[in-house]
Amino acid sequence: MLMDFAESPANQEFRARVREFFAQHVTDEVKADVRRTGTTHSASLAAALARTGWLAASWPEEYGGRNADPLQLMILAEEATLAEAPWGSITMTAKVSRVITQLGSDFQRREIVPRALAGEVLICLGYTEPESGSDIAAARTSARREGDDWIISGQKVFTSLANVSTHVFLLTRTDTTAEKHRGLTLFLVPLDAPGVKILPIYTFDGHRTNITHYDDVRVSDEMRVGDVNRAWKVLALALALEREAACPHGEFGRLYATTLRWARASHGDDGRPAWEDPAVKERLARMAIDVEVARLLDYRTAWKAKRGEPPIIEGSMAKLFSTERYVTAAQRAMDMHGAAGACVDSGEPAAIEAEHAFGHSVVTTIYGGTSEIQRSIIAEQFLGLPNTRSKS
Amino acid sequence: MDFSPTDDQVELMSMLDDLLAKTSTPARVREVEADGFDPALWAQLASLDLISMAVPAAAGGLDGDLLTAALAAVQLGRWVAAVPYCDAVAAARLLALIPGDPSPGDGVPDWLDRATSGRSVVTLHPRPVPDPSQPALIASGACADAVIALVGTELVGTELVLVPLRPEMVRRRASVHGAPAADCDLTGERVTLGRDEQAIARFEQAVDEWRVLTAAALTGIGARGIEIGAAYAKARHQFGALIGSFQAIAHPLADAATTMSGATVLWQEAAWAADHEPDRFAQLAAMAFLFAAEAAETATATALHAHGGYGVMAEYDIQLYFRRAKGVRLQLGDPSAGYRRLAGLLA
Repeated sequence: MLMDFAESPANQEFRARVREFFAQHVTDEVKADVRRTGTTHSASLAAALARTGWLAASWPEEYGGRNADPLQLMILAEEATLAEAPWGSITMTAKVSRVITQLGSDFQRREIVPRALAGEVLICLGYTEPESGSDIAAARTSARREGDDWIISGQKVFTSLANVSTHVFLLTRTDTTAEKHRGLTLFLVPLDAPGVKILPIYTFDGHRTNITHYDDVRVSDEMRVGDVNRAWKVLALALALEREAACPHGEFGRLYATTLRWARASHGDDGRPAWEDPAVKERLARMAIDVEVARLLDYRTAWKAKRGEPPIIEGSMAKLFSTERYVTAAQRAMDMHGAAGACVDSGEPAAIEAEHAFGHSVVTTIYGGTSEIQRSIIAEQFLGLPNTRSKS
Repeated sequence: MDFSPTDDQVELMSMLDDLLAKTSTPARVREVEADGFDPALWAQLASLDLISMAVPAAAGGLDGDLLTAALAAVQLGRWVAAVPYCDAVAAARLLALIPGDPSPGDGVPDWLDRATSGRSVVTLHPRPVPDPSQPALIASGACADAVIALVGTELVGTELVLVPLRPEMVRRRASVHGAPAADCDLTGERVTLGRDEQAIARFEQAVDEWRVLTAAALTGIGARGIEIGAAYAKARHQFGALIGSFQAIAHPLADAATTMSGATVLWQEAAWAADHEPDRFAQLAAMAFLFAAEAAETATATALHAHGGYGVMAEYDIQLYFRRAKGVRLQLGDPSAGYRRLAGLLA
């Protein structure tokens, strides 16, 4: 082994093919559609990805995958982000399907997975509830057994993409007497089942997410993923897969590249070339460093996963660093545009990107585990500090 | 991509850690602080070929790369060792590039041999000296037998020189981090190592290597500082609980550890680029130094603060790290100027 920061020729070639694919399929029309609906999903892109087999790039070939390693998955995610591909629904579906291939039933492997790979089944996540966000194991949505079925009642919030998905990967409580991590069970619930209600929630940055209600929803036991009361094991795998292929530096890199181009060609608030302003230079230099560090931390996470070691700490550090620095960079990028930076109707691409990042970067520090959760993971598991969360 | 060191590199780091745990104890660091230099440790490093490690075999070195030397710098940072290792390795690698002087005596080959054998301390002064008629503030000036500097300006002509330092040329300066700093008179006898464009090119390459080595040392200082802070937070009780269980203590330490981790992969990439991606080397070296310097400053300040009042007591070790991180950061001048310089290097 030897430290090596170069991309292998095979991966360079893979990157070129992926880039070409996204350039072809993420059209202006696709992007306009996302802006109009606030939902980061494109049926045509999903279908095209299904045809290439990249939907299941990392899977074993027996499930229709391509055996891509985590570094290639990172390349795929990086290129998708650079192309502004609306593929959140697709990656989420791929991750849950991957969990099913490992911990699901034969029925699910036979009935669900192939349809997910074909782009027909889209799965969203149903973990968060109004009263349980970061404390995910405090979920109260209940599932009780009735013959071969389960009856589910409760509500979930931030069920993003439920409005375009076919199924929700739903975390429920099946034992109210057990310790809180030990009474949870996961189901794959069809969103067209009677009793499911999807209501929109709009975010300040123009996205749509959802609140989902479950009113005595009947689900067959065949749709249970993993053992009863053992959701924690399934969740651990789902969260690990989420870390492995996450690419938080991608959007940050796009903000930096756009801002640098703008600064070299434009004028600041005082009418002078922006690039002559020492403050602009220092801010861009800082942004450049942060983007490079974020990129390296993401690739280190993928590299660790490729070695077959769960990249828990690496993933937490990469997410925490990328998203927090992205927030700062978005603020500074808006500052550089001066008073016009506060306007949202600008035609200037760099101002649009900065304004997008202003709202979106904040979201990235929250979803997929807030910065506070990441810090607690790092403090407890890397620095060996005592439990910083449970006050019971 | 691969982030793993070789077995030899792992062994080197472990050997050095064992050695420094015995020879660069906090007590020893305090003992030599007035001089800013530990001659016994320097002799030991030389005898282990650590100064010549990254010098080409053709020039009498061990042919190691910049990355391996930087890994040694990490360990020296972890033990806040009082030796100008980064300045000396950068100087030795620079000397090794200069074609041999045909006449024996105080020429380049002799100085290279003295430097790598540890008989003399030869260091690089990483900031240009536009006006050599004025004394130059050199961080290693009080312990160096000779210093390499870039003197002059483009207008009057620049010259890369090796200046042997005699006691009367050196006026000791006291520094925040106990460095062997001194104002040095560079007007005396000198060995010319290059003129004008060639001088600038050689100097810039050497300073970029210094940036990477120093970034590595700073990650050692910062990472050890965080460990000291975390160890305190795991032992100190307040309000009936270990203070490490409070997020107000734990989270800033987690942030610092994250940033330090980022600083580490960044200097590693820069060191790798020295050999494999020379076009990106200057940019990455600049990034590595700026980022590690800020990260180490923040990390040691965070770790010190976690100690409460004990953090400012001279007998607690964390203050050694807090002061060292700051002083090393300033060796290249005002950090803001460094960021503006980097902007000019962005692709």
